[in-house]
Amino acid sequence: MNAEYLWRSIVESVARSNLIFRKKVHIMTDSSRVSIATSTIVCVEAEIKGEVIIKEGCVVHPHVVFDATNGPIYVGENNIFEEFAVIRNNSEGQPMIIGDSNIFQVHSKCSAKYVGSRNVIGVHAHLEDGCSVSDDCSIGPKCRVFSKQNLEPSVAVYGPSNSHRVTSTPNLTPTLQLEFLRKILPSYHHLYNKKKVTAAAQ
Amino acid sequence: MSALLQYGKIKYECSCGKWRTLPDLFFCRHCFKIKCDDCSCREIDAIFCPRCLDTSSPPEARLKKHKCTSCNDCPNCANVLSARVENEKYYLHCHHCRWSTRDAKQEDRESNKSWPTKENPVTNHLNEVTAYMKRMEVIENAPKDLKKGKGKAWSAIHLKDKFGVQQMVEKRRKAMVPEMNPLKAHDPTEAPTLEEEIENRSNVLRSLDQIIMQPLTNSNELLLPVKVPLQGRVMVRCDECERTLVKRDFGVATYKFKISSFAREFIPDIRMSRPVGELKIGETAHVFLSVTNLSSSPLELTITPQSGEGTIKCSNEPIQLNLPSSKSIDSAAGGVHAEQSDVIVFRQHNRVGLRLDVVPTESDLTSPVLDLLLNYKQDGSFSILAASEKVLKPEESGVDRILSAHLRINLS
Repeated sequence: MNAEYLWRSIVESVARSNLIFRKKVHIMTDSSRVSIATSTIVCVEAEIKGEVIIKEGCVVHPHVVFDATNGPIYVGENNIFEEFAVIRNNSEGQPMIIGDSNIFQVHSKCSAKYVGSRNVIGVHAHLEDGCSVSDDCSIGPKCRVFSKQNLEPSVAVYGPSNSHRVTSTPNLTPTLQLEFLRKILPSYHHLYNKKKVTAAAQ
Repeated sequence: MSALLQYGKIKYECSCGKWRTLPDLFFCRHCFKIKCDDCSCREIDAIFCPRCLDTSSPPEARLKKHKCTSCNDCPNCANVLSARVENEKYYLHCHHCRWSTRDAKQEDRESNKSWPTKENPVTNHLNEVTAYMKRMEVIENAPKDLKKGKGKAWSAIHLKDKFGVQQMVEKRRKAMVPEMNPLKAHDPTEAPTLEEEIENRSNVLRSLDQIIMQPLTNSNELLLPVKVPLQGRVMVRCDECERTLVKRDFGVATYKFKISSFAREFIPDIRMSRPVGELKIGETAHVFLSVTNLSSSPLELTITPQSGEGTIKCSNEPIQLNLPSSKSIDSAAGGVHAEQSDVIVFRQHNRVGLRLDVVPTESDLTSPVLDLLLNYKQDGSFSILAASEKVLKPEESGVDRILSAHLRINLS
């Protein structure tokens, strides 16, 4: 009951902030359903379908899939999505919310309904449909968070049997890595924003 | 790799009578014998940390208790612990399960080396006991030592005690017998009752791996970083002539060999080139083999199928082959004999494909084994021996020896 209320309040607050955000952001591409902030770097090889909002400072590597055909995906600030990460909203119309400063490592899959802030989703890790991850969690390589499972703050999931433990050390925010990627990625990749922008201008 | 190349199905006979796959074997160039793990000597060449590749001498390693001082493993999930710096102080952190030294209630340190480990609580007592035992040994051996120095002339002087030798001997004996302070027997500690043990036990259940990594830590104590155990690099010698068979290059980071005499470089390598079809009693089945010469000299080879008890019958005559060396790939391969052309399937540089016909009987079907004997001669492969052997055995030097290898192929 309580969780239901919390969930609704989160959704409402995110929807409100997105409304404000859309007014601010002037680049609206793909029939105004995909909106990417100016300081966010998205490589052109990334595949974005449906209603996706990515806020300031994120880095999306090539071959990342955002599939929002079933429901919208809202991504916060300063997230890193590495190669072959798949972010897919499998719910029926429910929004997927991703917070700030998360790292989705290579080949990770996420179809969670809510991901908080400062999480590390490891290589080949899988967040199944409808699970939720709060803040400061780390999901180890090849680990799973099962559907409808809710992770408390500062939980580490590791090992072949998906063991859980509560940690005391915080996840560091990847500021240096973000700065490096923002500098290096545009010099070797075509960017999603620019291509769309130039296409629109012509 | 060996599974991919199906090495496991073909076993060569070692000089000690064991059956091993070819990559597992060595060849002594001086005894002309095949050697395996069990009939060769091994000695530790270098002791090093597998993580930071830091070498240490044997006494140094003993002092470190054969553990690296700077590398640590996570006690929780056995992955690598990495150091993090905060306010110019280090703490260790596991990227996998996010265990950290702060979880073990360890304060951050200024140096990243020698993190504390759980010591044996009775170390002092143990040292006392060993020291006591050593003193006992001296006391026991004192009369023997005195006897050793005792000669005939000496005993005569001893009787007369003309020069005060007796006193000297007494003095010496006293000096040699150390003082004896008998140690107290170790008080048996009372075994904890079941209630006590349950009371002191923490809620954390430890896995067997965790307990094995830190056997001294009790269940109510916190786990500490596990130091990485050092590893030894091995040098292989022949057990007969004690000459080195395998020696690695100087430095642990290199993968090169200073001396290597693996059997593959001396013995023709036989492999199955195609899987064997279904075996039926009384019907001829084909076995396709490839023979490769990996040595640095041309090879004259005779393959003789053996028929004995427990082995499958092969209807082929002995096959004679000439194989060029692996280095002189361009040299023309020996001509295919007309009568053997149905046996030889292909010829490719230093490799020859053969087809053998086998006729299984009823007893073979459960474990079909093909038994082959190789007799081969390598031109000048052993010329390194010439210098020493020319002097010792002039009649044998310069003549290429005929060597033999015996192998069994599992056809199932």
